[in-house]
Amino acid sequence: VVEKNPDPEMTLLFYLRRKLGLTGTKLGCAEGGCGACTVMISRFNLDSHHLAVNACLAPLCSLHLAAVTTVEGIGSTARKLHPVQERISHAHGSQCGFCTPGLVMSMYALLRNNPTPHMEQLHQAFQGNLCRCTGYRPILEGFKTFTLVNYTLNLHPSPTNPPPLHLLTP
Amino acid sequence: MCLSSFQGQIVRSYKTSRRREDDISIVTATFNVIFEPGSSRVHDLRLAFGGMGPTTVLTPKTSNALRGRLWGEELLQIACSSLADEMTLDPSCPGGMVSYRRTLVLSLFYKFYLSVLQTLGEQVMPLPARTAGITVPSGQDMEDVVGRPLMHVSAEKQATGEAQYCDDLRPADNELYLSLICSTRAHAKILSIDCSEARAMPSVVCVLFAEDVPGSNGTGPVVYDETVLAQGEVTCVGHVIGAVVAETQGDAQRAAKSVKIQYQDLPAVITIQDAIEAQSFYEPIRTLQKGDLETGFKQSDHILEGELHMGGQEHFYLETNVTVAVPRDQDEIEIFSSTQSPSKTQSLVARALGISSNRVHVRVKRMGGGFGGKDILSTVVALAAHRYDRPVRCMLDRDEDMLVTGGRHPFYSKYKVSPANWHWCRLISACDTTYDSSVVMDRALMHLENSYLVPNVRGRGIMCQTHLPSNTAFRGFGGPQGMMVCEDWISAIALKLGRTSEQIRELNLYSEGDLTPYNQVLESFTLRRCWDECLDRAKIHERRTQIHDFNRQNRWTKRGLAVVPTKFGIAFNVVFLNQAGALVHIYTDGSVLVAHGGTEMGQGLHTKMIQVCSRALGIPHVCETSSHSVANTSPTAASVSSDLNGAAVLNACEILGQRLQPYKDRDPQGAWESWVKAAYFDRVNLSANGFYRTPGLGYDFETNSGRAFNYFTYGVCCSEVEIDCLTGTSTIVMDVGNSLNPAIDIGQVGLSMTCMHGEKHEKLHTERPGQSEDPTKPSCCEA
Repeated sequence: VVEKNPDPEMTLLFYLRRKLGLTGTKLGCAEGGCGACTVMISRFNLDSHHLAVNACLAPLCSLHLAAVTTVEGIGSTARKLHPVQERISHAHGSQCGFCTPGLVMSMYALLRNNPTPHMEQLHQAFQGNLCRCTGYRPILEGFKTFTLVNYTLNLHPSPTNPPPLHLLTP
Repeated sequence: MCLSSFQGQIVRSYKTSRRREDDISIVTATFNVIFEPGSSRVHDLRLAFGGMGPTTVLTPKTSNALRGRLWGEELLQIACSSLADEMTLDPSCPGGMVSYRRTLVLSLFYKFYLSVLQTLGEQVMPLPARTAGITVPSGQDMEDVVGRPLMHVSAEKQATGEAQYCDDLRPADNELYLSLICSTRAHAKILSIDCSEARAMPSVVCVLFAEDVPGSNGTGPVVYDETVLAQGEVTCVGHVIGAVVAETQGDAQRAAKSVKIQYQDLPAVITIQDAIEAQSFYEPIRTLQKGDLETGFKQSDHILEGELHMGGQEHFYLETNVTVAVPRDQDEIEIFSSTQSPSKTQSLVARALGISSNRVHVRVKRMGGGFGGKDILSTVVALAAHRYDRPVRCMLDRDEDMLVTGGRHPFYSKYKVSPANWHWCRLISACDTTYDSSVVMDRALMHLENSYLVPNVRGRGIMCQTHLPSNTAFRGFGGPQGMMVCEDWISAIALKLGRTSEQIRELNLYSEGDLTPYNQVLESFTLRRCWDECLDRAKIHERRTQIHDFNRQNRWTKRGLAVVPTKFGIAFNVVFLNQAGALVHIYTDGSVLVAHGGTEMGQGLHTKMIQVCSRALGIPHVCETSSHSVANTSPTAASVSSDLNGAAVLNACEILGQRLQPYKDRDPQGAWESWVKAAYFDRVNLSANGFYRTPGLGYDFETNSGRAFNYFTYGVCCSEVEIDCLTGTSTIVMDVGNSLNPAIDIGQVGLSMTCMHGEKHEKLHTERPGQSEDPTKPSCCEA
């Protein structure tokens, strides 16, 4: 995306939702407190670095030469769900759904950095995401299936338990 | 947190925040002590605190007082009294919680003191085994959702971001944005309003006030005692006085902030105590009474009195209130809104615009959470759209939403109870307007005995008129508050009699066939089964022993356990709301569309309606909730929407099933599509309207007779809590014993534990998630 006249006051969230029409990323609090606006920002500097970022706080102008991945970018019902999206939805981790894209992107960013995380890393990854409906347990149930312990116990990868990301073709 | 230090120096940092992971804290502290070489005599000691002023503060007086002293009890005493003196806060300082913050200063220093003692090897008492912990007792069952419903029909779309919420609607080219102008005073006369600066801003289209309301300015859920826009007087901080409409959100908000209002302050009633002093109450004052209290108390050995204060609660739906109003033709308007009450929205918009309801079309696709807080905020937006014949959008910012919309009613209660005999209880709640509040009070009174047989009881409910934003529905609607008071006195009784609280609770549980204080017979009473199962699954006795041991070994962290039963009455307390409609279409290709009066806010209502319909008519689709499809619907509330709307959908499906039966009989081997086509070509009506009204309801407070509820739901919960006595942080572990709907209820358990304090002062202190105590995942539960 090339933006010739970026508004210095504009946040990434506003740009995504209003200028690009990508409404999957949500506005919950506009102060980085709820995580509904989480996206993944990647930069390449000798190596790729992926970060989960609050789009409501990220100035558009800070993203020059950065790659932004949103929830729409990793899967869709029209084509194919990403395993992160599939597991949170199938594990009843999405009720009203407003926090779900943010949780999906936090998990996705974690997996891009660490395809076989431990539960502790999962806990840390979601520190900035609030959910008011599920009580978090079903979300963790779903995402626990990505953790190292769970994978090694299950020696037969299946559609609901695919091999770690780095073994998947892009 | 321990920073690296050289020999003889110890540096530690501490933080207390509403959520453990928050970088924003209530109070932070860093302490730096340098000892004289080879001794525990303080050479220099610096104490720095954040959260005790606009900037970080040091404590020179305390530092001076402690220099040269040995690290021990005497130093601690001097430090504490010096800190108490030096670290003061103004009662009206931003963030409130003055006494808590001042206590934290001392507590955090005490933690440092203990930590240094341990490092110096002069530990006098055992340090806490942990200062913060997320624990799940070993062997806790992973509560798999046996018997859970289908996956939420929109779950996948929600996970991919494809699910559309109100603000995801693509703005039209000519769409305007509306921003509210709210009162900054609790109770005042409006002397003048200067919006010249706002009007002069180039993209501002208009500024609206009460005089611009073409229809009626009176609004409200049933009684019209609220205003669309304030007229002459404001009755709370956040009272909507006007609105600015501009081309962009930024411009509208800037313009709204530039409006200057002159107020003349009037006496304000803020807290329940204020209201009691001022005798500022609403009618009616309800009494629920049964049995003979006087004789009962005379005959009792023990009489306990107590009081309980419960603060309010913020809904904190992840999606704030949002409306898009689109004018159609000259006299019709379409409202897309995040609301639980499309019909109420429709009638209130019509009333304010001075048009008839049949010209107002309200559409709700889904909400990002409701919890009772999303009723009717669309009127002002509709006003602007109607006047300027352009679509208008407004999505409240989080701080605006928390300020302007009400929350759970705070309650204050005094009770007098005797174990032999029970109780007299006065419940008082704070609110600003009548209707919702009186029904909340009714429900609170009807739950004041919770799950216990109380033969002689009197409850009196008094609603306080205060100058706070009008409180509204919030999951439980008075039930939790009433139950809370009950659990308080039953715990007090257990303490007084020296028994465990489980023993007292179990002794007094209802049995099948008992009568409630409002004379309803308890049938299909499964609470005792829930109780037994919960105690068994939670391994209460084992846990009590473990807790006892833990508490003995830990001085500053303590654990406690409680088992609480609940019985919740199911029906709207207001009888006329117990009705619902549905509209089911079968299209010629065989596909089925279901419309009903309930709205989807995450509870999976559409999913359940699809299940109801699918037995009869295959798997239908539910598109949205619209006032054009089903008229005069009740708000999606009171935990009855599945019952009411499900029955209406079933009704419609049965009608259609009967119409199609002849075609099925004629062609038993045929496909669904062929039966539908045959019926269509035969000019059979393939649409049906269904309806349901809950039978047998109608309770009267005056005569204490009539059926208040259709049935009751029961549950028992065991909760183990760990408290850091120095900072007040807590960790909760839940075991839901015998929930009827585990998949959704696990979420509701999490929801019910969050609590936000906001009613301490005129102006809401907690306007943002950073100032509130929503638990995040780590502090909520561990898988």
